[in-house]
Amino acid sequence: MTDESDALRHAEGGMAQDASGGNHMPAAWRAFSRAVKAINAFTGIIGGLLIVASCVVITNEVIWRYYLRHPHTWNLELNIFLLIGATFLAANYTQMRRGHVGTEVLQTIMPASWNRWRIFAGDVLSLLLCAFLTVIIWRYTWQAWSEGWTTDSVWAPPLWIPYSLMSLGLTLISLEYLVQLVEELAGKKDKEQHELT
Amino acid sequence: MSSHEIGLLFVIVALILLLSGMPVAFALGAVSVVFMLGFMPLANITGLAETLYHGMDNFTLLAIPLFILMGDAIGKTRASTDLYESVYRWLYRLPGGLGVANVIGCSIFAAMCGSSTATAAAIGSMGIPEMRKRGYAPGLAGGLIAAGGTLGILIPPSVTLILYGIVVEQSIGRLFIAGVVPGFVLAALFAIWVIFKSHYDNKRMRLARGESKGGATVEVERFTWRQRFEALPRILPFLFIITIVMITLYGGFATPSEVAGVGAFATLVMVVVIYRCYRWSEIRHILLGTVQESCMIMMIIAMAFLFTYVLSYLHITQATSEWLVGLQMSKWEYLFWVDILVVALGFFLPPVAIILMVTPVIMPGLLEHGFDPIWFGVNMTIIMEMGLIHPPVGLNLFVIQGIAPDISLKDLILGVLPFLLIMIGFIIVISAFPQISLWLPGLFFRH
Repeated sequence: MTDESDALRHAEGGMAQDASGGNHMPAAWRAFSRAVKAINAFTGIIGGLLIVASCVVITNEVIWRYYLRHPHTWNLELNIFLLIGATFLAANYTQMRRGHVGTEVLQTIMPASWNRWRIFAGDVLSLLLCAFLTVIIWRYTWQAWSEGWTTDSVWAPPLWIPYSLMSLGLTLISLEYLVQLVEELAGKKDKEQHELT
Repeated sequence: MSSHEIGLLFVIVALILLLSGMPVAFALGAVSVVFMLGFMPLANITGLAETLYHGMDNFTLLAIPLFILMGDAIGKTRASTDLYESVYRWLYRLPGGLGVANVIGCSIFAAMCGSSTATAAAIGSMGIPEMRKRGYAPGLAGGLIAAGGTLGILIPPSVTLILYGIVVEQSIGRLFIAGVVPGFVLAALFAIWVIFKSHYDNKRMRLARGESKGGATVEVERFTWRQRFEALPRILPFLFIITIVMITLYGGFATPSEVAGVGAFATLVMVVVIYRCYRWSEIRHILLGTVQESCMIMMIIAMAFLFTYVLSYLHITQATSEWLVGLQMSKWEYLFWVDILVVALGFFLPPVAIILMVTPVIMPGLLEHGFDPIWFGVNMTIIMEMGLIHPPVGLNLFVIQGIAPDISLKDLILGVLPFLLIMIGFIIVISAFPQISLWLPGLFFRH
């Protein structure tokens, strides 16, 4: 859905494209920003591979269940874990592409400069939410790990697996939001300096 | 505070956050967290991971990313070009044949992917330039693809109907079958409009040129019977996939997620073997396209589970449903206002969010008034389809603008308008004659 995401990116004011990244940013920050982008692209691919893995696992299960009359106990939960992984591990990549749809009703009414600030405010609020959820869910993951929680099924896989996938995904999307916000601010500062000179 | 007061506050905060520039998913998550902190015991916050996990612990949800994978894999290959050309060769003699070929292309593509934007992007990237080359008005070309794309969420498999089925606990197979007749009737109505409009445009242009008759406005291509039959094998892979999906789903051999899994697997094999799409750059393109759309929808679903959990915990859902039922409206009045609510929400929310946020509240009233939940699923889907082609959300409009940036938004909106009117008319007809959607499921599921 590249076309769609591109359209959405434009629709959201092209924040990602306009943010120059600020050439005056310290080298350490630029390296950090590049690392975050590289991780986003990597986990995006991992998310896609998890969906493909799920389709292979399901096809395998259909053959075993309906033709060989031998269903597996692990199929359902493995697929749920794959779904959670594909969703949360790709959240940062999707955010990097501005692919999480927002409400654009004000976009058509408000002036472009106000819209940029509105989207900036939305990004700040999103960062706060994701950071909050990251802390809460990492703590829960730790609890699930240390107390050896498992699901109620016959297979009984450990519950820290899906929780850690959620926590990791939320951590990465928080970092992506941080990078986008800093770059947006740096982009604004660059623009102001350019206008002054 | 009473449930009604908390409910009102909840709606206000939700609206502010939705309009703040936050993505829909995070706005739903944020309002839930705020109300958990403000009105619910702390255990709900500490156990938030568990609530999210239980929301996603639903095997049927898997059908969504898998159908998206299926549609994306087909959309990223030459497959859609083949489909499009094959259909056109058989329909070129019809007035407006190219436009009709586009509508049919959208319908067949929709039957494989379940996504409106994917359908509009895949067929529109070939259809719009071809139609414009042959003299179709830009508004008609763009509007037709935008509207044809919406068939993606009505003709099964449909991501929207899967989610609706999960929320209202109805058979997804039954919902899929209920979408078949309305989907194809709507496609036929779109085709009739295209035939009429292109015939009218041709006539007007001939008159403007001072020609009495003949003299088509555009160069007319001709295909021999041999060329037409030559094109048929190109559709075979599509028919193969659709047949697999239909037999496994409607024959009761597998659940919707299993069908989606097998369908996606068969599609990937077809894409690699027939279309020779095995280079890493091509595979990567499919993976990233799939994961982005899937993640966007699944994050909304995950956060909407928190949203509905909070609504239910604070008795807002129950209190609002009781209030709606207690309004003493007639059956049709209730349906009218529910439809208006869905239309209004369509102005700023995507279909996935509308289903998850609104259905639990309006469903008790609909059942109380004797409406069939399967029929309402189809009715609601058509209304939400309209939201995809009218501003400001109008996702399909953005897709068309991405494909043909030189078509102005004004032309596009004017081009889409007749299709919107057809859809409104069809909603009225389907409300008066619910058998249009319920007849086929009744035939399949006699018991």
